[in-house]
Amino acid sequence: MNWLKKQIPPGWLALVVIVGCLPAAFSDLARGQDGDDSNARRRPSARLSLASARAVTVGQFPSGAEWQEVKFNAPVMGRYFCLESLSAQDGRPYAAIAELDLLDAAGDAMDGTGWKIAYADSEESDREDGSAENAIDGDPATFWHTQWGSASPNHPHHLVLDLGKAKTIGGFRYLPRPGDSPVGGRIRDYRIYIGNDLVEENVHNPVLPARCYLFGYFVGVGEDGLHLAWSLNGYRWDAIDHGRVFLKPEAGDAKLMRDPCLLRDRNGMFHLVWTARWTGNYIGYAFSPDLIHWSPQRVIPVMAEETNVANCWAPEICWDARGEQYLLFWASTVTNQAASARAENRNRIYATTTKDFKTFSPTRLMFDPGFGAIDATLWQRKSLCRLIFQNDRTHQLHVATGENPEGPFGKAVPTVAAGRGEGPTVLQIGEQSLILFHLTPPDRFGGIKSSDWEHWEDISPGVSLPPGAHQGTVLEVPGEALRPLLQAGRLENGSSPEASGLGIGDWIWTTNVTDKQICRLWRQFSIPPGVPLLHAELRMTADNGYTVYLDGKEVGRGGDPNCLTDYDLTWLMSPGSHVLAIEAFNETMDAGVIAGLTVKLGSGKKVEVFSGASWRVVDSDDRGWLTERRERATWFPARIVGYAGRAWWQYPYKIIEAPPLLPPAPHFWQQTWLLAILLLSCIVIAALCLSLGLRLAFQGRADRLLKRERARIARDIHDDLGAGLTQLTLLGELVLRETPREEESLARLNELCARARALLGSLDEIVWAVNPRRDTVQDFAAFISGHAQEFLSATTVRCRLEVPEELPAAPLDLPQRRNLLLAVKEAIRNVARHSNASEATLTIGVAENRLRVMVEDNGRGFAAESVRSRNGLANMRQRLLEIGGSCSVTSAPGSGCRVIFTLPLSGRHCKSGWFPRFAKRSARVKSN
Amino acid sequence: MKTIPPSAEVPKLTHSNARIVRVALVEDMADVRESWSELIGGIPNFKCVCACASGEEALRQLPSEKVDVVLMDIQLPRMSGIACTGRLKPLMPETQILILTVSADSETIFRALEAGADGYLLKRCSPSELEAAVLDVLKGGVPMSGEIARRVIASFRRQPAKRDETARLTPREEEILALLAKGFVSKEIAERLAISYETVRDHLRNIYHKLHVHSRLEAVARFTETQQI
Repeated sequence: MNWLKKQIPPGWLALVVIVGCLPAAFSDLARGQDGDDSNARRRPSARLSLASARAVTVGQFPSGAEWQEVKFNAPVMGRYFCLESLSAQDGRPYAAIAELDLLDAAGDAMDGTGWKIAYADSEESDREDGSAENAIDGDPATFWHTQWGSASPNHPHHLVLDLGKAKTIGGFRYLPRPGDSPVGGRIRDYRIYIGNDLVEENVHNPVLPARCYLFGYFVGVGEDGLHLAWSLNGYRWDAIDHGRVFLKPEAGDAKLMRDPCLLRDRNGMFHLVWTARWTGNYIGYAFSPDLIHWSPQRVIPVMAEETNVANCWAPEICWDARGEQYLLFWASTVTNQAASARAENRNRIYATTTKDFKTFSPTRLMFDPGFGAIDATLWQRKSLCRLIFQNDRTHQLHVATGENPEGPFGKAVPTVAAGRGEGPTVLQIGEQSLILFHLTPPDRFGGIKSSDWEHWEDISPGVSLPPGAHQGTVLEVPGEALRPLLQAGRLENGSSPEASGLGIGDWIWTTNVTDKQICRLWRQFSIPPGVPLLHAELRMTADNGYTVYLDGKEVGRGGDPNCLTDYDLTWLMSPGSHVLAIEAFNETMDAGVIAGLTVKLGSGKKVEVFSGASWRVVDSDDRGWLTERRERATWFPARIVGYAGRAWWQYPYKIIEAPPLLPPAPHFWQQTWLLAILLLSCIVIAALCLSLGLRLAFQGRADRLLKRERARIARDIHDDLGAGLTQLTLLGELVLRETPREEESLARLNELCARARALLGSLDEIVWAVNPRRDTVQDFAAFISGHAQEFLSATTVRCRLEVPEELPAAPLDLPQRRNLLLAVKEAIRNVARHSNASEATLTIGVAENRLRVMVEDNGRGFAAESVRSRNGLANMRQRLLEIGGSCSVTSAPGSGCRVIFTLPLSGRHCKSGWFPRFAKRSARVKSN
Repeated sequence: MKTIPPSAEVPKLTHSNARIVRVALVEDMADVRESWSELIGGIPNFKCVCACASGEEALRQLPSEKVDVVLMDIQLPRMSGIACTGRLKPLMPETQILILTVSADSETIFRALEAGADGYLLKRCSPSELEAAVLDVLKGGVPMSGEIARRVIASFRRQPAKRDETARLTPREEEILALLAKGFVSKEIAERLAISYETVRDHLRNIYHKLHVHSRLEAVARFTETQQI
């Protein structure tokens, strides 16, 4: 097959994106729980039946990573194509496929639009994305891989394609998974089956697991409603329907839904209660047979009979089998309690019972541990009940034990140090009791487990919940309870409708999110040759900033997470392998990168590269990664931190179009006269390059380093020095207070505090000057006028400002900002010191692309000849000279002084037509 | 010409008023929080009734406490101080919220005011400045620098069509804002417009109120409030 290697380069395949298949979450469903011997089949809606099928061909692939083409002796008709892997090249139990393509009778690749994976016997989903869809996604970098993390099922492995209807198949092409050998999963012996009934579609009666866990939760502050996630093992939870809202809060006047608690009664009806208001005496209630269709929502005024009720939080319901009734309990603060002698009122757990959610028993105090208790949840086993709750001040989780769900409960016992968080919820897996809870900060879930409720183990690192999930409750349900969700298509995966409509993937980031964090994301992709390339467009944004590179070349940068930017990359794209690299920066709190590259090819095909788990996080910062074609061993998959269209915004505020990069060049080289000129220019340029090359190379590097260092220094000053000094000042004040008045050290301590404060002021100024985010004329005007007002307020000089309402966003670079700031400050200081004026005016304006700052006073002035001798004035001149501006001082004895600073603006951010408009506006402001 | 030092606006500290000022603090750094609450507790007639570590905790704890003034740090984890202010203010409209900020960045301060804050304090202020600022805001004082005034004017100009009567500035209010933007302080404005200092202050309170009404939701909706370095 040597001819084949030459003839078919990698990435040749027709590239088609396949939609609609069951979620990766389903792998958990079918994998079975501990002690459950259910098989590892991932597609519960399909059953493989090869018993009556006859193999079309049997063969052996050579080792190596190249495309393999196999042609059948005669074309075969069929709707399903099954590749059976009998052994691997390395003898291990795994099978993997990077790409699979079918050939028609003529030997050409078939159009794969609408094809689906009908069946895959095993797919890795924990350690990497080994979904079977990767085998037909047109991307050689992603691949189907059988399970290798929690289990390693042996050959034979089966992958079945559903072509939608019977088609004539003449052969196929197989691309082994990428990587340096030895690499697992390359198939050796195989069999091919083709037929119309290889798979029994079982869509309306899928196999569901006996038991699974459902988690109802809220996100953010709790204004959007109920979200659901599910899990088989209690550790890994997947959002149902991409984290969509299942019930919007409508009950009550606050339209809030926090701390939802779901219960499934004996008839299969789901009951939901939730915190419906930050303050108030009621909770929310609704019920649903299927989690999709909900009853009207109503409020239950559980604390209506009490007065001075501050709140009703984190309600929970459970079934009290002994009393044949529902127990409903929650946390409330009642301010007229017997303990009102204490200044602070705290939450206690209150309860009521009901049989029908219509009539309720009188509310009573259920549990009072002697301190603030909140977010209680109940665990029941036969005649043993445990109430788990958090101390509302320390968040320490406590357990109190009793015999009856309604109480009484014994003494509250704290769990472990690791058991500290909000909204605990409990689930039982075999002998183990798991408590999951929300950690704030760092805004994720943690967990502890125990088999005896005495010795607890921290399981937080293994707990994973959907992005943004907040406290709720877990309930164990039979898999059958999820059937309505399955039938409503709610369990389907693939990119969310919002995301695919926008041509972007999901928000991705590295495993953890911290402030001031840099995240490097890398993705390799290929454009097939031989097909005309029509259009290539990258659409992306990041929270908070990014620089994007194509094959090591910067193609764009930006920083507004609410707007998407489109980059036209048509003229940079060519057939072959490419690397898209993003260096993103998170300033504070939430972080993520969202992107989608769409390359339209002739004959209606396209290549789509969306942000998702197939991207890699790069751990190093040497520049080599920008052009690296192959994934390095230390890189790891990106984590999805939010779903497009769900997280942060539903639809971007704006889609900005960046101008196309490298406009088309006509065939000018065909003209000889131009060639001559070009040749001549080349010689000149070469000579110039020789002299400048070295200098430029060093300078470019130095610039980059400088910029990075600047940001780092600003952060360090702000975070470490600033916070430390603040604390120092506070400590100083505390010491000062404890020092007796007559003590000599008092004055010194006072001075210490004053100096620390002054230092903080200077730090603020340094951070402002260094901060690349505050680099416009507008920011400068805001800062300097604030300074003038503050500085002069301590003197007898009144401060007047003449600043137009709007100034252009033209940038001032660091030396400009710094020098101008120091010069203007000097001028203001001079007014206060020497002028004896009653009024000083600071005027800022931009006209004819020049920034003009004027400091004027009505003081005593000075004679022009004495100007030169003044050191301060010389200083100001020197500063302006350094940044290419000028400074003029006019004054005469008795008629005040006027200092004018003029600075040309670079203007690269200014549109034409801006200045006349601006000049008019500033004129209007002056005439006021 | 008679000059009025602007510092005269700071009210004289009177301890004769026996009423206890109940102060709450929202600050995420534990050691800073403890120092602050100790300092506040040491000011005569001040009591630190609650110190919260996060915005969520504040939303939970504060509405059930009787609090006169909340000192709110801006850089809080997840829910920023601005977002928290936007949600806290409607729950406890009587309570005055002062934003604590490290830098005097007018952009940040303006967003906090939009969200419903009643004033701001630099973190580097001394205990006596803190005391003066808290007493001032309780007496109805309204801090507004020229830069902030300029932003308020710009904010009201931006979308005049959307606004109803109650959220539109009166000509007098606009006049006062324009003077503030030119650097005049309240006393000077009172003199110039021949009205009392209290009247200027009432106008300023109204401007604040209108600003809150029209921009609270807008400000809360933004999720990148704390774009300080």
